[in-house]
Amino acid sequence: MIEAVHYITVVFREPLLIVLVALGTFTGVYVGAIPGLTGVMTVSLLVSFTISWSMNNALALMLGVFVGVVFGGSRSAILLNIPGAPSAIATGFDGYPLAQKGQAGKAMGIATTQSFIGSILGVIALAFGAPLMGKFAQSFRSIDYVLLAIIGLMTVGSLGSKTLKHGLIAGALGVFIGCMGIDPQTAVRRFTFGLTYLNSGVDFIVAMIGLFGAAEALFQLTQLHMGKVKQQVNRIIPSWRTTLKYLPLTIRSAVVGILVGALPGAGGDIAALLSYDQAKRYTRQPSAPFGQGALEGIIAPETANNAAVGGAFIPMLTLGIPGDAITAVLLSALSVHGLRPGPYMIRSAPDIFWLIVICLVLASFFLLLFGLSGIRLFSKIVETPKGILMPIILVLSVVGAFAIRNSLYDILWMFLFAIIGYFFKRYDYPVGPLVLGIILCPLLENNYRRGIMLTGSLPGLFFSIFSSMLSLLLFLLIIFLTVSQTKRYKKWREQ
Amino acid sequence: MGELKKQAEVVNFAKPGERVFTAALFLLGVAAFWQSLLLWFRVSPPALALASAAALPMFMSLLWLALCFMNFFTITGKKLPAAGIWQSFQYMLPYPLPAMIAAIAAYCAALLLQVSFYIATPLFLYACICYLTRRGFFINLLWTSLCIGLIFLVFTMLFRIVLP
Repeated sequence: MIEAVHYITVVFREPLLIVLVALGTFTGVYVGAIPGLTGVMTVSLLVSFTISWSMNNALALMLGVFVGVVFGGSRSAILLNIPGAPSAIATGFDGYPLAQKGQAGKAMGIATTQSFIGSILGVIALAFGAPLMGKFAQSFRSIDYVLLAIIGLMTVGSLGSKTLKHGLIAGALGVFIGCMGIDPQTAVRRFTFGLTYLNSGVDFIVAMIGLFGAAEALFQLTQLHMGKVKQQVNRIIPSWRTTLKYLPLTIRSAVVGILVGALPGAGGDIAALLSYDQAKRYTRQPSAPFGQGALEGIIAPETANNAAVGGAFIPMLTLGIPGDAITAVLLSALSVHGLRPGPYMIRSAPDIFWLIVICLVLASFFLLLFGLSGIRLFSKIVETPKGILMPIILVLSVVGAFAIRNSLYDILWMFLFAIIGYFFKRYDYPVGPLVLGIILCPLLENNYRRGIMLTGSLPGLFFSIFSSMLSLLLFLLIIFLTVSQTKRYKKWREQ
Repeated sequence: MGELKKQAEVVNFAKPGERVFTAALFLLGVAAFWQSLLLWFRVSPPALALASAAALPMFMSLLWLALCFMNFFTITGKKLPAAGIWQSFQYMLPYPLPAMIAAIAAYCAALLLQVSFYIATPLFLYACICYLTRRGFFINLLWTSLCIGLIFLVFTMLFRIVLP
């Protein structure tokens, strides 16, 4: 314990670390808000940029960016319905409608404070529960990942749509699109139609920009006649009473975020959606109907996606397995600086472990500071005339789509998704499941095929569910999710 | 159009063009299933068919087809809105979307024909803003310059992204 205190106080012995964390968080918050600029891209640039720095300084900067970018995506999701990052998709479900009602400041204030709380809770889980959580992450088998992916698809299938059928069609379409390209296991070309460009498949960020950004811009253009929404920004920081009122939801969402974040390959995007779904199911009297500006619809995903940051470090530091894409880049950064993350890292390099913990804590506080600043100014964006704002969004979508792989064809794909997204919105099909289908496809397919090869048959894979308590719990959850969509169950719940 | 929108909001009425959209999704599902079937016969050894590269696309395309089929029955059960073909087209693509889609197509064509991003984009942006706002041509120029300047600063200078 005394050792831990000694390592944690390193930031006071090296004040430059505090400055670097602040700089990283600031950068992350604003980069995260721009669709097309991802946390992975930014952290990857920083790995090469900081190669000659000391490891402490490099880590401090990158950790700040990580925390900032996860939150930053929520700003554009709330203001423009364009998530800056996949983890902010769920935030837009209620954040954007709330902004349309003139309460963008309130929505961003809640998103900021909840991100702060989620981030702190995630770090606490990392600091005190890392070894235990590492064992939990290690217990996940292929079938468990398949079940988790199915839960994710079912969850998004029921979100934001009048009928489950529409959501599942969108999800199935998304998974199908996710299968395009060269199969990573057998190198077979799937649905490439002889086009070299399609060999690498469709990038989910291109789909996200098209379906959320450009599609929303096209949709908003049909409502030019509607007057601009005047934003009320008199109260940004939620009151203590509000924060305490939603504390149970916050804790539940943080737990979901930490657990999902701790799973290798599952990140803040899945955590945010699962958390949104649990909020939707278990909140008896939301502040507004979900999908129409419910505060709970912002609290749950924002808490979960930032709690997942702490969770993502658990498998990285206890098992040497990255929890998500950004921790994968951080692993490479640690290797570049001579460290070998793995099962014994906490014992062999406790200074690095506690440095990560304290930097994440500092980044959370800076997130609160930078997140709350500029809200009044950002809220004014929504008041810009649509005839000016929407073409700008279209151009930023073009640049964002191009920036991913420097490919002109990504721009074409982005506009194709924009057209699809526009018609989906026109006829009440949700676009979230389509993007999530693309994101979840690798997780679902790789683990499904691995499971089939290990057990030898589909019945073998199915019956392996009953050989583990965890698998059985996940399976029962799927059954519950299916049953809870039936009219009989909904009637029973109302009674 | 107002009447159409009111009808569309009533659950028992299909939206104008909804049947066409549902049919288009269904046909797309058929195409996806056909491609999956071709892939299945191409890559699936009998012993490991369910673990092949065609397994998941096959399953998803079947699910997609089945759901579209069910959806089609739901749609045919709804009343048709009192709208002709032209009114349905106007509902699907109201003003100013046809012009905007044409502008986007022209913009994409320009980029594919290797017109510089910093020439095509300001032209596209300025033309769209002027068309949509119909006033303040000088202010629109300022907005265009601001946007292009921001893109240059963030993407080109900071992130070193080489735009086309």
